[in-house]
Amino acid sequence: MPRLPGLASLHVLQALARGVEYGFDICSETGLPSGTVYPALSRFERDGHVRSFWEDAARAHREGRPPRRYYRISAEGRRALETMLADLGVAAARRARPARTRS
Amino acid sequence: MSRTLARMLVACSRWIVPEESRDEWRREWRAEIDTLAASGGSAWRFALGAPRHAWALRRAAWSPASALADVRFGVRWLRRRPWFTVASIATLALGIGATTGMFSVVYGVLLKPLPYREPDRLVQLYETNPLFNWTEAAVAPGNVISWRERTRTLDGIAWYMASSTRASGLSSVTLAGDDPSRAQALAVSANFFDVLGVAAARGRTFLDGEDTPGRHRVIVLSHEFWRRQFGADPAAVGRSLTLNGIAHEVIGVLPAGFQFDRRETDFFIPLPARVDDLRAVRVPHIFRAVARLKPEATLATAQTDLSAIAADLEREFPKSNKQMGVGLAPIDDWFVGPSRRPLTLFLAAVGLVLLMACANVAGLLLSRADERRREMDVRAALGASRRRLIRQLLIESMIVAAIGTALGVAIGAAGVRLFLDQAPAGLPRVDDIGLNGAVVVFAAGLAVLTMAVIGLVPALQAARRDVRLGSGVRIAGGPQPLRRLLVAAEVAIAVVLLVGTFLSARSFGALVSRDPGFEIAGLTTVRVSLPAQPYGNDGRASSFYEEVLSRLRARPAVKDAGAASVLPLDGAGWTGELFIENQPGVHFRELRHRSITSGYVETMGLRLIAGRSIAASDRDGAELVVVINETMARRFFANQNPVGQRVAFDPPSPAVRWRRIVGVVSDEPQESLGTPILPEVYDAEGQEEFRELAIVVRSGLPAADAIAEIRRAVRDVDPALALFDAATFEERVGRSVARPRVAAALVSAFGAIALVLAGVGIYGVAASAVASRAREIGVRLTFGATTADVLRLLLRQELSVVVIGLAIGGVIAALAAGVVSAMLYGVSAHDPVSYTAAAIALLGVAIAALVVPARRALGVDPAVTLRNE
Repeated sequence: MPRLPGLASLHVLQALARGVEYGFDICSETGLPSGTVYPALSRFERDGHVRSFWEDAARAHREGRPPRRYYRISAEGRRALETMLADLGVAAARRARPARTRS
Repeated sequence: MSRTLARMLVACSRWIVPEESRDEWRREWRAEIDTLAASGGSAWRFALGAPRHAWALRRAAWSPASALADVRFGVRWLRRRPWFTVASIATLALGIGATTGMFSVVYGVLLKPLPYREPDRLVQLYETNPLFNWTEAAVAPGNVISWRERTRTLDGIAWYMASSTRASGLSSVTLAGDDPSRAQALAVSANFFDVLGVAAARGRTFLDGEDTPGRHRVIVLSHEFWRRQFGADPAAVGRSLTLNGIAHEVIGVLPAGFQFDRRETDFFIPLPARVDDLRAVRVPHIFRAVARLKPEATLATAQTDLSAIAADLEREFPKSNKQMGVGLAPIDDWFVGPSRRPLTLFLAAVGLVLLMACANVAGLLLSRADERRREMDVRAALGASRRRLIRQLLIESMIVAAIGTALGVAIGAAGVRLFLDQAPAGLPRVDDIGLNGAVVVFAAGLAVLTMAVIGLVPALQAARRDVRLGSGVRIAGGPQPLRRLLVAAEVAIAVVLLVGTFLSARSFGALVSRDPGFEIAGLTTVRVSLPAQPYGNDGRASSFYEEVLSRLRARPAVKDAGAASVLPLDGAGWTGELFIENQPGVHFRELRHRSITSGYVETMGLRLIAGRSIAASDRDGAELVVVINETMARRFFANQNPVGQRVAFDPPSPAVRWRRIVGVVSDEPQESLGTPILPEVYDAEGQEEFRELAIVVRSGLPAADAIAEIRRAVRDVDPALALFDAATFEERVGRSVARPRVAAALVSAFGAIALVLAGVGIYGVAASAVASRAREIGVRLTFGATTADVLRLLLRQELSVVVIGLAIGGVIAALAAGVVSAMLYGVSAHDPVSYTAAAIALLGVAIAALVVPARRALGVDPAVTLRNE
């Protein structure tokens, strides 16, 4: 069970669980600065709670921008999130469905 | 604009990210920034998180496991090359040990603040007088009182009894008991501890007025004496101690670590004298004085102030104070001044040795790194980053440095212990020397420094090369010119230290082989001090000594016995003025002065050149007689017979006491073996009534038995007396040359270490040269070069470096000669024998160091070398 330094990380994980995928989006969703979000994302990835992927380069190129990296919470990550919330005495978060942003 | 800024932030932070993730990291951040900028957000604010992220990744990438793996690999590698590893560690340990040890001594003696309040505000006062060649003389009591009353710049002046050397005038007092023993006391003014700013650890120090007769039977103990004599009894304060037959009350104990000038002071007693009585005493200079500057005063203003007072005193007391001036010196300068220069020199020498050691180890590691090129290349091909490889080298260097430093500190501590056991008497503040906090910090700083030097240099060197496989035929690097420069510098340093070694060895040899002028073997001496009661007057002291001496002479084993107030090599003596009856122009001011009994001249084995020596009949009531030494006869009576002439110690006047010269004896050493002999008179103890004499006995007995004989003779006459300073003359001679002996030993040790280090350095560079030129040598041999040609090639390159170093070192040593010439005896600072010996020693070591690589060069099989390409 990775030790999380604080509630900030919890917010990040929650956002991921709700389906937010891109780093910048997580920042604006949670209101946290990038200097907090990205280290948290790297940590989660190292611990296996989150997986990252690179956007399909062709698609991004078509849209005239460089391919971005996006993050998805893993099953392990969801379990960790539930445990954390349970530890905090919060009722189980509603399971969010990953938003469909691409066709 | 915002986007450019953001990109710059990312670009800068990129380097923090571990190499493997760097590109990917940059891509991610740039993508986010571009997206953000395109949608109108504040990109640069977003990018502020980039450095933090980069740091987080770097910290995560460092795992204890990987560092541990590096350490394990490094240890394994070092263990597979035991000679190299041991040599490197030993070299470092020697260098650091010597430096740490020397620094301990220097810190204890020179740097550690004195145990007084604000010691930099304390000054030592002394009197000067060009008429007598006085530069730092003791002070007359009346003058001190006048200064105290008239000064505007000094906050308090305290005084204490002086001796004729710089040291404080310890008096030996006898403690009553079953076995009367002796202690060293210093008599001081009542405000002594107040001026120094020292409070008692137990009880109190002296009160105002306790230095007047009647209130003066109080004692303040030193910490050490309290431990020794009273067993650290907490109830010691208030107890009574009998000194010289008189009871004194213990009123206080000083804190541990307190010492004044010399560590042998057992306790302090007040100097009982009324101020009005002291004021009248302006001729005998028997005090020394310390004072505290007022907060607004400086050394310069105080000097001006006191000089003005001295000028006033000269007018008021024209006879006693003629041309009597005053001087001040900071108190730590006064205590340690004479030792400052040699100690600083030693520290510099030792620093040089450490530098040599570091340079050597760096060179050794460098040459190893060269050999590991192939290994590095393979590791790089398998994916190790350059940073990783550098880290590997760094860790290996640090392992060597860490072990070397730890060993070095241990060696330093042992060295300090050894030095303290052999410490020459009179080295100030010896108790302050030890491995303490400051020294540990110094050693740690040294460790870091050496790790940086020996760790980074090879690592950076390695980094400069391209660690990639398959770059084809490469020109071998070989030892860089920098390393050759280092070797030349090492040789130069070694030359300087070796010249110092030979100079001090020859100087010491000259000192001890000097003919002392008397037969040393079989001479034993013991000092006896007679208390004022009952020996104060009526010739009782002389009778006592004559009685003891005749008892001693009666013993069958004793060949001869005598006594003197001051012995040769005592380090102190009386100096007085000389006037000669028929030579009115003579006013000699540096006359040495001793009182002897009958039998002294015979016991010491001095030659009687003319007349007779002192006899038992030369007592109070008979004509005053003296015996003079050969130097005095030669100087003042060159063309006449001194026997029969008369001399005086005061200016001729109707009332002056003339003394008749009755004999001339050969010279005896005075203060030490090395000091030039001054004219000296011996007067008769029977006519001068000294109460403290040193009894000298010549016998065939072993030391302990001879001392026992003296003790028995003394106790037979008076059982209540204490005897002290028992020693044979061999021991005394040894003690008197202790300081030059220790200095010579230290310098020799440094010289030897420097020689070894230079040799190692030369070997290292030569080995590297041979390794890198193996192919070239192979080619040459194949195409007809003889072994002589190859050798010439190699030696010419390496030896030329050594010769350059020799020349530079020789010049530096010659230039620095002036600095050390004052410390040498009997040999010039440009002594050609020493320089030649140093050069020969170094050349010998250099050639020895070149033998192995040279043989290896010749053993190179050209076919093998060429095949390797």
